[in-house]
Amino acid sequence: MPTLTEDQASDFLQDCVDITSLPMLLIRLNNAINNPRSSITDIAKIISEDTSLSARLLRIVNGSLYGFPSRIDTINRAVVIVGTQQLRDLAMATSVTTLFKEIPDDLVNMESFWRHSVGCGLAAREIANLRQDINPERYFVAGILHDVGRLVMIKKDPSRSRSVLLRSKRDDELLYKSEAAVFGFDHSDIGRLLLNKWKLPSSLEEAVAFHHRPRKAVRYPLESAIIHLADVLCHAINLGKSGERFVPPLSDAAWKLIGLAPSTLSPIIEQVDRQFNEIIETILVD
Amino acid sequence: MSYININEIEAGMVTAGEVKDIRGRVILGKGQTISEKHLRIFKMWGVSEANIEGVNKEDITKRTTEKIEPERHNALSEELERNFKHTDASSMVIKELRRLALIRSIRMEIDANAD
Repeated sequence: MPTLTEDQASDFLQDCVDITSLPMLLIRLNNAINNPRSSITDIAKIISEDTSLSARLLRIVNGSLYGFPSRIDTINRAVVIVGTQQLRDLAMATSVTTLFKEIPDDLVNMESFWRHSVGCGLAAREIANLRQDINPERYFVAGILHDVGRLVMIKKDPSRSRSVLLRSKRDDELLYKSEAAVFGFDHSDIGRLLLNKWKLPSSLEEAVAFHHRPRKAVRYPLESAIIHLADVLCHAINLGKSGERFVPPLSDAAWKLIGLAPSTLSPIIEQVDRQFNEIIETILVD
Repeated sequence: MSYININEIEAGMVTAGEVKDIRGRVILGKGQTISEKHLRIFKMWGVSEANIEGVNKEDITKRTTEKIEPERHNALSEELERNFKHTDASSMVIKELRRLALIRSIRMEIDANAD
């Protein structure tokens, strides 16, 4: 049974049609990947229709994120080498910024917001890499999307969003707690519903939903724990700003579940710093 | 002796124990002087830390903080204190994150001043 918070969040999202509908290309890409009959050529063809997206994807797969020995010069080859789901995730990650134009910049600085999101995506991807996860791109896109709920709240209700900021500043309160006090739900609830409407995999939905409450994750506790840690890490080193001024508390259970040594934090930060500018330039190109 | 992060280890330091990779394979024995080549190999094999003779984490942090004026160091520490106020200061992970955050902001400040 949906809780009161879920109902409120769901009502809130009801008439945000411009955000809740994904770009047609991403919908078609999603459908093609989920359809067992589609071939690699079908998928490459859909991506190739969007020249700007294709260029961004080729830049990323040829960059330091992968370090492939030879140049990948066509989307077809990128699909073969990187994998269909991974490329879909990258397409998602590099397209989502275009959905959130026209956000009042006195409430959030968009460049800073995406810097935090990209940092979180790269950190999550690196944590997954260290754990030898087979699909680190899933974490990259989850990191990029983890705070999008906040953008929806600002876009739809700038007035209450302003109250949230004032309250958090006045009481030195964590922003997501101020959101819950003012709206009755926070950005992770909205993020979850949005990803559900976009029909993205439920692992992404859960990672976004529970990035502040990783212990509540039922089906994908590891995904939630990794995004939670990546978020804490980016706040700690002040990489971009999502609106939150404080480092959120780290869940001990999440840290234990991830199972890394504290000494891995330093190499993770170095790796994020190394890849950060290249990815930011690709994603914030328009 | 103390465990030092891989990217804070410098050539010339001496191992105080075996250096192992992420899967526990021994990469270098105890009592060996680390060379540039060893550092490259450590990174390649995913070594995240090593036990080093005569150095500890505090020394390494101090070496970085001494590169800026004490007033700037204090200002950065106070800023971190504010940012971290909702975290558990006794947690090992948070302590390490704070230490790394301080080192990173000092390095960024030094780089910015150099430009």
